[in-house]
Amino acid sequence: MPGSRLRSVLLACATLAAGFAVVIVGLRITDAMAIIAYAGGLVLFGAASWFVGRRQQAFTDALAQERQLLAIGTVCCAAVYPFLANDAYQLHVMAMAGIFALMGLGLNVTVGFAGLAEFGYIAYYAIGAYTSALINVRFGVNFWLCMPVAAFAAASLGTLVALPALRVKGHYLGLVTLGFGFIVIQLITNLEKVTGGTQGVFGIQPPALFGHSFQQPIRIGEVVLPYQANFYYLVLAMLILAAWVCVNLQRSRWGRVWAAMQADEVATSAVGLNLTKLKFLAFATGASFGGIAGSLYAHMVGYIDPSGFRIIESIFLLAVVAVGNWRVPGVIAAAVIFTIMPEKLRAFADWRLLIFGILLLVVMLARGRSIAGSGR
Amino acid sequence: MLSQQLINATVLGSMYALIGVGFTLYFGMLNLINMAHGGIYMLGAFIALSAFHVGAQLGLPPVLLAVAVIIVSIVLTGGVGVVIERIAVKPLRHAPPLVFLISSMAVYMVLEELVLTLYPNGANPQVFPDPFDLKSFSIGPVVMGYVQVFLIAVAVLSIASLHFVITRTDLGRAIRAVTADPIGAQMMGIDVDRTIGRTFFIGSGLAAVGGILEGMNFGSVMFNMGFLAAIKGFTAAVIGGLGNVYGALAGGFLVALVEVMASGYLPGGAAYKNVITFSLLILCLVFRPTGLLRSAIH
Repeated sequence: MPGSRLRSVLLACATLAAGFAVVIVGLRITDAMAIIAYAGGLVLFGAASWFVGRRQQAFTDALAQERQLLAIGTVCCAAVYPFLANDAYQLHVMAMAGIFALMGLGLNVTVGFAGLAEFGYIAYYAIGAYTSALINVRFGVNFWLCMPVAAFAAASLGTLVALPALRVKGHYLGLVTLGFGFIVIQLITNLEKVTGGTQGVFGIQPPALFGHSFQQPIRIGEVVLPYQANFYYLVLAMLILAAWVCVNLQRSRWGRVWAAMQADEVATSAVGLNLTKLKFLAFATGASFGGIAGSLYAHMVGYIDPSGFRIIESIFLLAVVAVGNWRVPGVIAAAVIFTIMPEKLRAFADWRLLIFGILLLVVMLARGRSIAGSGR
Repeated sequence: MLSQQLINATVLGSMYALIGVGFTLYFGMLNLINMAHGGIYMLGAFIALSAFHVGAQLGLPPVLLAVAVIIVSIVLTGGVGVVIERIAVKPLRHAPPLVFLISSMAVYMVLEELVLTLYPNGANPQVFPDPFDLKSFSIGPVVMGYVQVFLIAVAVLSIASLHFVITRTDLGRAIRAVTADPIGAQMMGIDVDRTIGRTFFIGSGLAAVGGILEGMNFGSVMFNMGFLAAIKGFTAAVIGGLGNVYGALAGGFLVALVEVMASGYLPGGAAYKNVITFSLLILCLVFRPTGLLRSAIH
């Protein structure tokens, strides 16, 4: 009925506008007391809307119906955001959030879609960043070619990591992948002649599109956006592409076959599907996202060194995927929150990582009880 | 030379063995990998350091102070381990292993950050006192510090106590029973929850001794010492077969031996010693997840 369609569209737009306003306000406040008040308000709001959602099935139905509209609306909001940002640094943070979300989506392919443990994801990010940086600095390769090469390099590493996955499962595989991740980072640090060791690689050239270098600010009529906006939009574009790929992957034959493998490997194999190929593909696909993210990061900051790639980030990514409930929108939202939170917590100076750790623990404790027995 | 390296390997091996025992006990009882254990190791060292500072003001003779500090650290760190078990392990006992791994790493992070922020000048390495004032003696070409003799004695005593507890006490029997079959143990009247809590006390206490060993042997501790130690301890546990206490002990010495040999005899080996340890872990997990040592059954 046209009336109810109009109603659900209006409801979706209203929710989106309200959500956007909340996010913008949240990003703007920097004072510690304000942040605590904001967080408290969010918790109350979240509880209230969960309550409303429970009572009013129509509300959640309407939102579910307008999924596509919400998705397009979110993209529009994200596109508009740079005009509402505080300053260049905040744009930089949001671009980093997007890169982190890209990694989260990649990890979600390996862990969420295919159910394979991957605790060393940061290695793909590092390989992508270093490959892209080194071919750019040493051989002058253009960014737009560096990015796919970085993706390919990361995917190759993913295929290598997949080899033990053929024999090992569960948390054993988790530790094997952790080991691989550690070894890759250590090798990058040690092989000084190739990677510059702890000195890192500097002088990475920013991308350029139709003569417009990404180091230049964007001018649209009277409005000037700082140059970080270039990277923000690039990351946003890649993220949208990645999300689209993930959603379609999940619905495709591959997604179904991965789900089958996750549910019961023996049965999947018995039906005639090649488990080896599936596992290689899962690791390589997930890894390629990390490679792209690394390449974006390298060309955004112009200088990389091993200290930017820490093992603990792999664990953060796993937490992001778990908190995001292994679904594309959830993972993206969780990644953005995880990136912004330490920044917001800067107001608390030295205590921020401690608070972050406690929050993570609390979330995992809450999550653990609710998803225990779901088989993931 | 070789004998010198062997001395180093013995002390190093004791460290890894003591932390590895905790990992293997937790895995045997709960089938879960507890990454927070590395934080406990570090905490044990820092509690001991604080106790040293307090005790130095009381003017006790150094060796007596060292012993007292070790006992204090075992008790306090063991207590922290029990608290962590109640808060972060018990609710997640039946959660998917991935969730538990992440939350145990969150606990590790909290422990690391607590020390980093609360300990004065926490971000820098802290000097760990040597009760023997760096005195050493020589047996032929081998130079050995007094402190190393002390540490080996402490390690031997700890391992002997562990053996005693496991084989001769009711608690030890309970631990073995719960490791073999938690439900069966419960049916036989063993309080599984209490046993697990006490196991955490033991594991944490031993890890504390390991941390003190590292501190005294190298003369310094740092807030992030737990991560690598945890990986090496875990490698030790895997090599010995997860769940096998004596395997973990042997595994610790094996890992230390490999590390010392690699550092000493491979050109540029020192930089790669962690890579070698990790590779050992990976190879073991892939090709021999039940452990390299088949013999000892506890």
